[in-house]
Amino acid sequence: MNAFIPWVFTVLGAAGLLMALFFLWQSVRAALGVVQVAGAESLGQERARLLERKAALLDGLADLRFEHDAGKIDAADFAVVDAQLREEAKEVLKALDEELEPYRESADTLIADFLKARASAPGAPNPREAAGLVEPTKAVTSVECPACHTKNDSDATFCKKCGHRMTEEPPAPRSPS
Amino acid sequence: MVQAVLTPDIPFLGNLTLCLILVSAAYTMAMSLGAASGRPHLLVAARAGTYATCAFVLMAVGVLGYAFQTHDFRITYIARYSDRSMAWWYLVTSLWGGQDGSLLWWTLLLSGYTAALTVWMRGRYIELQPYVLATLMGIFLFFGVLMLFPANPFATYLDGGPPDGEGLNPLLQNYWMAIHPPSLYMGFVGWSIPFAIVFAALLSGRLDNEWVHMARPWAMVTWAFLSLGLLLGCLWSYEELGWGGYWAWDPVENASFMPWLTGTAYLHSALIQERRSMLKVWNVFLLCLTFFMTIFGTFLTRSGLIASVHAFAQSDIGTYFVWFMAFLGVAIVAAILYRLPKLVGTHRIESMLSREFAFLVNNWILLGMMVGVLGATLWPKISDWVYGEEATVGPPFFNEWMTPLGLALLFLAGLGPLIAWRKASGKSLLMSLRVPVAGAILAAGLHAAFGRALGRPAFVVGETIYSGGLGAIMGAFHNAAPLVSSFTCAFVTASIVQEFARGARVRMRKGEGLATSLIKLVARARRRYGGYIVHLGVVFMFVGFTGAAYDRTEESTMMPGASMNLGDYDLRYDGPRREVDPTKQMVFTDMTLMRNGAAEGQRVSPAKFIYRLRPEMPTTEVAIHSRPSEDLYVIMASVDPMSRRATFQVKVRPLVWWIWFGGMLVLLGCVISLWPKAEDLLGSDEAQGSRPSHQRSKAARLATAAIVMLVLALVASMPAWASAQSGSSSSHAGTVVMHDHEERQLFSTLLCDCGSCERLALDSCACSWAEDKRAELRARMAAGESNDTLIRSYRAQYGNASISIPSDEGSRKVLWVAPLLALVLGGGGVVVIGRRWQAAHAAAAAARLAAREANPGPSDTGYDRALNDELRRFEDQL
Repeated sequence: MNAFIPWVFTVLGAAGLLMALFFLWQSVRAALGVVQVAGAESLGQERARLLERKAALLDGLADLRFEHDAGKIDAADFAVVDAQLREEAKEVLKALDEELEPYRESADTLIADFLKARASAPGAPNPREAAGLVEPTKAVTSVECPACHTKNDSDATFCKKCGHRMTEEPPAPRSPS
Repeated sequence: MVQAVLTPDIPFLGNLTLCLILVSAAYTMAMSLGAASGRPHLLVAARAGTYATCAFVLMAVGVLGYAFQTHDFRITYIARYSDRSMAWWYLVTSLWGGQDGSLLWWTLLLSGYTAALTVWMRGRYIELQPYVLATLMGIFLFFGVLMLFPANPFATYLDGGPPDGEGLNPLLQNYWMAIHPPSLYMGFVGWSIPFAIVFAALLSGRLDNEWVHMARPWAMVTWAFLSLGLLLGCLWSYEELGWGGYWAWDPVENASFMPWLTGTAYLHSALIQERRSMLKVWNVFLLCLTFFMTIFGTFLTRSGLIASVHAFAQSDIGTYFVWFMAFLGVAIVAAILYRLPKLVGTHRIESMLSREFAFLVNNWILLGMMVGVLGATLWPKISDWVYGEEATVGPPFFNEWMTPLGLALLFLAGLGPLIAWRKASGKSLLMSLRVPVAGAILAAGLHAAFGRALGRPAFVVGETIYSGGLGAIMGAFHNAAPLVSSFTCAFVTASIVQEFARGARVRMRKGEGLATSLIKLVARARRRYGGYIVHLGVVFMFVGFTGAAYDRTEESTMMPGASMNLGDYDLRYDGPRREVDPTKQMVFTDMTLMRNGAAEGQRVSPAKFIYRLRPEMPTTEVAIHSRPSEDLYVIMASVDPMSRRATFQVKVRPLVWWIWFGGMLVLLGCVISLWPKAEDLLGSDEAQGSRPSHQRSKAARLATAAIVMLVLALVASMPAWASAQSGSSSSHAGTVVMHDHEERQLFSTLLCDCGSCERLALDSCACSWAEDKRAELRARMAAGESNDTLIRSYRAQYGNASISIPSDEGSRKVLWVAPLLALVLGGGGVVVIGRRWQAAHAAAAAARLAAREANPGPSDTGYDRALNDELRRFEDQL
């Protein structure tokens, strides 16, 4: 046992040294810009503040209701404070929306630009189809239900009125031979 | 064998490592500051540099540990704190057994905290991180300089060193050395983290609630460790020192109690900021003060400024601490002043009848206690500087002043939860108060009616430390203290039980069963209910403290076969027994303990240990028989090996058990409060960085689980410590017995002046000088001299420093007048601020209402719906 313990400390010290050298190496590489650092982006201060405020207000509202239910605060006071908190919370929600407004606008502009660019290229497919956002548009035709003569979409499987099957029976499942 | 393989120059390697710590910390600090000044890629470098610094510290500990195990006596520290005969585990505890090593240990713990924080911060708090790291590196630099210069653990002898070391003091060779200091250090060092966070907030100007959220789990963990450390200190004092007490208001105890007080105040007032965005300046100040007090406490312990049983040997380390504290003080004040415009909040208190205001009062009392303890601890120095005379402030002084404050604080712990946030109406408060007040009156009534019959009277003869009007008032309070205590404890317990019951009732209305609703209630708001459990633990601790009023002591000299009786207990002395192990000789005196005349008894064996290295200093090993109602505390004062005649002192200490029980509840409450932090502190996904959330929460859960397991393990092993009595030691070689109240009062006031012991009071010092003095004083008492005359003549003979209550004449009254004045003025200030805020809030609310009426604005029903949705989602999460 006694011969073993010094080794524990030797290993501890050596591990410390190795780790220290490894991290120093990493650090110097990062400082010199050898390694690319993933963007340390963060939300704007204002937005973080608003989100925090929102969380606090929601917490306050939930707690207020709890204290009211528990009988710690009477109905009149509850109404006043609750209304006040709600007012503040709504202001924060509104501010959060307004804060996003510029981003929305820039997103709209981006989309508009993209569409325009697509449209100006002749023969180009619908950009939304190209992006896989929607299925290619089909020509809208209608078919009559053979049973009740209601007009249905051409791709309907069942009649929307009587439920009659509009397509052929699906192939029977293959027997597991 | 190891030396055969490796023959490195260990002292050189150690010093090299210390230099590397300094270089690495300085480099990291530079990188952090670079990152702070708008070069984000440097943050990655700073983070890696932080890990490297921590790893270097680990390496230094490895080197020192290796040197201890291989007995490298070239190193002064190793020669002074170990020898070749020591077992390997004591060689490990020697790492923190002395000044120099304990600083390295301190730095290691700081590294642990720092590395954990750095991992935890990954991907968030990007703006604060550089400043946090820079602040922490500043602290590393300070400790690095300390270790390299005035307290170098790798310093060597010029002449190559002695062949064998001096060995660790036998007093330190027990399991307490393994757990008590590390736990207390964890509680001290940990405050560096919240401090670094708040200081980062100050430097960066991001003074929203962000830093409060960030600091919260770290402050909680540290607070829990500090509480555990204090509790272990009490246990150690009770079990090892053999004088029968758990808290002696020693300067070192006070040094760890002060950050606890300010830290507790911070944990409460931080809640107000989180909830109401108020008190920003105050919270910043409190947290900085707490950190400052940990440094100040360390300075007090290590500089030799104040004489204490615990103090490390005097060294010039004090100068470094003074400079560091001065720098810290200036930096904190400057940063706060600079950021003052951002710190002044706009939110105001709505009503003085609100939880917020109750928290303010709580802060005020805690700070008042802190100022009082600080003043009294420093009084010997102040008295020396101002009056040029020595003075001592002993336990009776602290007990006299702290008991009422403590009870007031406890009362507030029961009252606070009953008051709603923001605004409580008098009517609903009265409704809430019915049950607790009824419970309190019932308990006090029962205590007054049946207490005497049970040996726990509601009124006792309390200590009076002053003559005159003030003394009479305080004496009256202390006489009734047991009754006040049972009233307050019942009040708080009833109020907490009512809180749980009310919460459960709300949930049960939704159709949940009692058990489910209780569990979900706690799970929904773990912090709140964990806090209540902490309060409940404190109540039990107060029950234990109250028991001290009923202590009884008996002393008897017996031959084997004889018996002695104390209350319900009979103790039969069976005879001495000798055992020997490589380091010491142990003399046990076996006794059979019987309760209420039962035939079968239990064996108790108080003992004396005589260490091979220090035969002149035999240690007293007490035997404690602990039960919830009372502890039996048996001390063997002396035994004659020839005649086998032994002298025993037996103490009955009621209710002490409840202190340890309450302490465990406090820790349990901390664990419950900390539990949800993993999810809670990860924040909403919206506010997060780029790492996938499941990965983050997994890591955080692991971290939380690790912390919780650690605390649980400590808690779980507590009963073992409480009942253990082997391997312990004590500096008190003999015992003293007090015959009546007058005598106890006199001897607790007078301090031993033999010159060699630690200036203990005559009621506990067992040296022969004290014994003679007691005999002389007893004779004079019998001759009819009053306590006052005796104290006066003792003071005349041995000087002011020989009286444990400092002189209360003329301007020296400032010792208690100043804290009292501060409390009263602070209280007035709290009320005035409360009123002004209330008025300001009312005016602001009215103005807002008027503005809305004047300009109703577009309807925002859309937001009403959005808010309701948000609220529903929020409540579903709980």
